[in-house]
Amino acid sequence: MQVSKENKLLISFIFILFFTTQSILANSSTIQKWIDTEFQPSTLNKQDQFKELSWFQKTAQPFKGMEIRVVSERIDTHWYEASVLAKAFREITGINIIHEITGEDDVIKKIDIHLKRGINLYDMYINDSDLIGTHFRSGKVVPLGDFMKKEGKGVTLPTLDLQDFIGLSFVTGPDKKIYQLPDQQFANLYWYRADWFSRKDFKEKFKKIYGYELNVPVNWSAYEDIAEFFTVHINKIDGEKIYGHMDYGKRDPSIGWRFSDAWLSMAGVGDIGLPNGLPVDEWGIRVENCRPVGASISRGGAANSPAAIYALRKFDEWLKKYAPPEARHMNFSQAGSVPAQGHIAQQIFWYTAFTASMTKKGLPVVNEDGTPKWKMAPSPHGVYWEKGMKLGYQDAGSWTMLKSVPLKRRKAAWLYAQFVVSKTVSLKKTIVGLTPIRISDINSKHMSKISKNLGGLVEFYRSKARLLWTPTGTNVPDYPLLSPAWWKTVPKVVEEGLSAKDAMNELARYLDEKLLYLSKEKNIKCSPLLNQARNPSYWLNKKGSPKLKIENEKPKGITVDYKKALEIYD
Amino acid sequence: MIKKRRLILLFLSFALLTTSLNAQSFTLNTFNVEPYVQNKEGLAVDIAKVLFQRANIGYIIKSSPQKRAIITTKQTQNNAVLFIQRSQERESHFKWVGPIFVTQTALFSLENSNIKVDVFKDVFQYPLLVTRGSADEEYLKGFGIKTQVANNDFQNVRKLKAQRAHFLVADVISASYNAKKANANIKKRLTLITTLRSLAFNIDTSDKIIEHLNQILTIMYKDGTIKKILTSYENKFESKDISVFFE
Repeated sequence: MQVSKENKLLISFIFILFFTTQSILANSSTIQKWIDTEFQPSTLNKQDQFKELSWFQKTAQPFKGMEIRVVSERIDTHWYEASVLAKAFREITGINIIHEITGEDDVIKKIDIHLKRGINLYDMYINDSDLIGTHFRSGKVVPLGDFMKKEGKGVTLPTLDLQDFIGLSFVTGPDKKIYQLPDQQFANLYWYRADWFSRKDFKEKFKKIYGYELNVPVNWSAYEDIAEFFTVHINKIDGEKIYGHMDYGKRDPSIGWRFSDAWLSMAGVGDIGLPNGLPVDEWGIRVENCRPVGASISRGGAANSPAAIYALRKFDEWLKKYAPPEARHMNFSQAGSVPAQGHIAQQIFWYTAFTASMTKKGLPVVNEDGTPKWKMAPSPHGVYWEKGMKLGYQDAGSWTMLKSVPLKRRKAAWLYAQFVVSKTVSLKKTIVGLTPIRISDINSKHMSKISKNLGGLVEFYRSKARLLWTPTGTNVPDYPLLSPAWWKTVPKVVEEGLSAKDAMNELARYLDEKLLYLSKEKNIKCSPLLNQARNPSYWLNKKGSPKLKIENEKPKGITVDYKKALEIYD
Repeated sequence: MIKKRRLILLFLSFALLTTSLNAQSFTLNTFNVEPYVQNKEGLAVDIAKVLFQRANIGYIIKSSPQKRAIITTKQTQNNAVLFIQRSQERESHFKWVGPIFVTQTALFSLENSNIKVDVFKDVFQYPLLVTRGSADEEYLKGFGIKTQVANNDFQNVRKLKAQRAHFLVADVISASYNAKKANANIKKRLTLITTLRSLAFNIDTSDKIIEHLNQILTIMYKDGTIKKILTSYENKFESKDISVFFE
């Protein structure tokens, strides 16, 4: 049979139309499947979710078939991304994602090697915003704010809604540029056994001994009294030995984070100003015109100031007097699960990333109806802390793009980065990992509904108190280089009996030496320029940090009712 | 005049540093991990040899079981382990030069396996073959995964070939090398983690030596030396997955 030229064309057209329609239908059904089966609840309705995911599908076309490598630390949120969201992204876009999960220390080592050795290990990193000072100075990190407006404009999600991110100030450099994009956030908050704190017999006994109410401690004096009360005066509950404090002290990189993250900021070492205190931050590093000028008091810093020594002395004293004896030989991972065992009354700061694992049914700290016996609240502050200063630490794991990665790979990785923080998926991700990044998720009806099971997490993130919880800031010019200072010195107090004063002097010297080393680097922006060493009294007698020693470092303890604990920071 | 004086000073300080480093000699404690180290030879040994020669630092290579290599280095000055994975748990016990090599740990199955694997979680129901005492075993333990351990990757590849398990977790180079050796058809199903292999020095080693070796190593990456050494092994294993790190 002869087929005319016109008929051949018509048949070809029908075939093309058929296969195109089939492909569109298949693509649409993949999107619909993920919306219906996984991405609920969401702050978007299903129609808007469909539009957002269709944008990813269409925009990813040029990158289909590529394999993209990213890495993040090991917490529930990233595990959800690696095992569920990466799969959804591949099915929707055709881009294969290798999302590696490892320890935070390893992530930092790897990004440092990528930056300094020029080995392209990954296409993007989820790297804590603690490195913002490193990134904006290095000149090797792509400012994402610029990328979104320029070479990455075509692959930037129109509904990304940057203003909805609560941690944007953490990822902004002194040059006002956005360098990273938050992927997950969790805070270090005070943790306590609300059931024990509300027991009438305990309340009466506490008031009799200390003269005020057993409640949420506002200052370190109250925390110390409560620690002593449970360890010494209560001692046992139902025949079980209990403790009024928990921490850890083993020589390990994790003792370094614990100390640099929060102890000094809670004590009140730095200056007033958010997110980190200016000119002196919570590491005790002074900055002048964006250039770090010193960490020791003699150069205007506060790393060995009376407030810093007080912080380390209290850390050591409480660990040895009020925590379980094994705590001093533990590291972060070993100590993390201890409060869930049911014999700890309070912990000065605890990582809210562990909320999900601390609310599992059957734990001694969870009621039969699934509600926790514990609560989280703002951490108490030390005697040097003043209103207007940061009070605690907040981790903000953030997407980070390096210039050495080829542009096409950067664009494909950027699509994945936006996918895992998009409004379509972010509420579900927040429920799984409890590390909120968007105000729209925090204020959602669903979060209100589940708040009673989360021990105060939602209430904290809805309060203004959260503004006082911030990551390491821009005063720290090279986080991987400077951070070992903490774990190399702090354990000497716990393990070797070095005095807190000598340890902080050693720490300040270490930081100054590294700042001096960096001051010789030619290729970094706002490089350190050390002040001439002066008599410490010159700086101590000036206003602000470093602060003069307060003679009475233990004023009367102050406690408040849980509800007021959040309100006092409004 | 000032410039000339500076040059002389620079030369003198370099000569002084070289002389002082030359006086140092290190024992590099190795253990057999084919094809990286095998009877004091192999990929990692080749890299270390160039590194120490260029740094003008003396060395001897000593072979012992892994555990002893690590303990000896911890306890003895002028000793190093060639090579181990740098990890948070090990960080404070050593001083580090590295990575001397970047590689990946991956999940493998037999070529004809039809078990569907999209993400790591899909294989949690199966016991995974892994080398006893390795960083990979530690990694899997961290996820609470059931494992079947053997003394080395060669034994595990043979177990996989004999279908005594469905999956093997191993370094991509080691898996490829041992699959060739065991005449097994295996395929990579998933990359799990990129690993940095480093030289771990006794904690009392001088910072100057560590810094000097790290500087030389950076040059070896940048001038293509590491890639050249890797290429010289191309008939022994498949390296396309990791060659991207050395471009």
